[in-house]
Amino acid sequence: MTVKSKFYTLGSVETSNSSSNYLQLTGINTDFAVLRFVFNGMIDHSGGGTTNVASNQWQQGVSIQFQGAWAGGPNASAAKYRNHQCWQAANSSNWYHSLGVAAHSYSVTPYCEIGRQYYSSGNVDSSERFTLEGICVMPGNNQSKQILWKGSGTSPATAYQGTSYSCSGWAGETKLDAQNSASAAVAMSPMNSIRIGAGWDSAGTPKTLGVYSCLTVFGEGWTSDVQTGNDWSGT
Amino acid sequence: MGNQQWVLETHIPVNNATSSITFSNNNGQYATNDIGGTTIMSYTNAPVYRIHFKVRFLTSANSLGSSNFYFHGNYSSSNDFTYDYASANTNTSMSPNSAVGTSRDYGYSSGNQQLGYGSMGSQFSNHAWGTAVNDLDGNSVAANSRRRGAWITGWFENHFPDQAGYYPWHYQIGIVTDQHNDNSASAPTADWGAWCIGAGGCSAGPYIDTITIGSGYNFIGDFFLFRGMNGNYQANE
Repeated sequence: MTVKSKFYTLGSVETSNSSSNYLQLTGINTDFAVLRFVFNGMIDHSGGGTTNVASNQWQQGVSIQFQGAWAGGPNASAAKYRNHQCWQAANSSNWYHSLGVAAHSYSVTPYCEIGRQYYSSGNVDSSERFTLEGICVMPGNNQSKQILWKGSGTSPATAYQGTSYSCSGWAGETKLDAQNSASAAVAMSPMNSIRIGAGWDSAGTPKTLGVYSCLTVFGEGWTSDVQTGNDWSGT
Repeated sequence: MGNQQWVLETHIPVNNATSSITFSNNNGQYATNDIGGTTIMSYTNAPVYRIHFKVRFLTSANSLGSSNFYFHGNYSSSNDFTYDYASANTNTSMSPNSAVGTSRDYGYSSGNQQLGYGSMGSQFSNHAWGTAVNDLDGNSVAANSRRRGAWITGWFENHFPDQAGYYPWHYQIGIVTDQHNDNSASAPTADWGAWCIGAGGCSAGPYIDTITIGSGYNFIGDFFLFRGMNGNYQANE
């Protein structure tokens, strides 16, 4: 068994305005021990008139899809996700967590969702940016893939910093359902694409990312020992 | 290719079930730059220890018990730790988008640092509601195949700039499972997964030339030890 210290930035994309619904990377080289996804930016909750997001309430974080399983993607019919999201806020003691996404009552959802921010009114570029970082171990093997996330968001506005509305820590796990017949085969395929978006408002209208939101993927390390083909087909 | 500061030091593939693995001689291996020069990965030269892994416990237990997933450095004594966690043991079932709080576990002068309450077995009771499918290569894959099981992803990290720091580790793991059929999952979901985030260290001597990860249950998986160095000592291969 051989390992190599092989580290590359495999792709990066950034918004140049506040009209993009998502950032997307495809054709990612999965011949690495670990893929690291890093998003930094913000959701433009004011929406420029395109959303009906109300002020002075909690809003969900970014939407996350991968392996081409999104509307219009090469594996659109496989968009059967499992999502577990966690957050730590100043107005709660320990962490809180939930399954699924806010806009769907089912635990099998068409996308994943991580993060939570308190939206006051307007958007404050200096205080609403956040970072989200995820790892996928063995992104090119023959098993179901999962991304482990962590991140943090700052207080949404100066007036709320240090108060009960501040939100600090986020975490979670995202994956395609590996039992659902529509998604199982894709769940076992390489983690070769990702789309991180601003999510949707309660009416189903896509929200937009703020300007200079950025998504980057890094490949970290290489090993000769990767399960491929139909290894481990039994139990 | 040039030189850079990260090294993938070790990969431990666990294809046959075991209850313990050990990264050994961590500080005696060498980084090699693009002209063949070597730098030993001592505490001083390579102070960051980053472990990423995916693991699957071969049990139906929906919570392993705190000491049934653990790790420690050279010393299996005087370890302190604390972590916030949730599992199908503390939140027996969860409804989508219904927030619940986490619990906390901690220990003092323990034999190891623990995270078992934030873990679960992958042979859970509601596993395998699906049927055999063909993968993209055309192989038939049974519903209960290891290829389709739920995996825990983990991240342990330590920055060791000197040997005086007793509490250098922080860690996070998580697993979300495939419970309930599609379109029938609005009801509470059993065996939904598990998660924890924590920190700890060892006051007996914070030496981590060896790092052992173990469990009271057998497991399979892939474990990687990365090192972050304080200079560009490693060729990008």
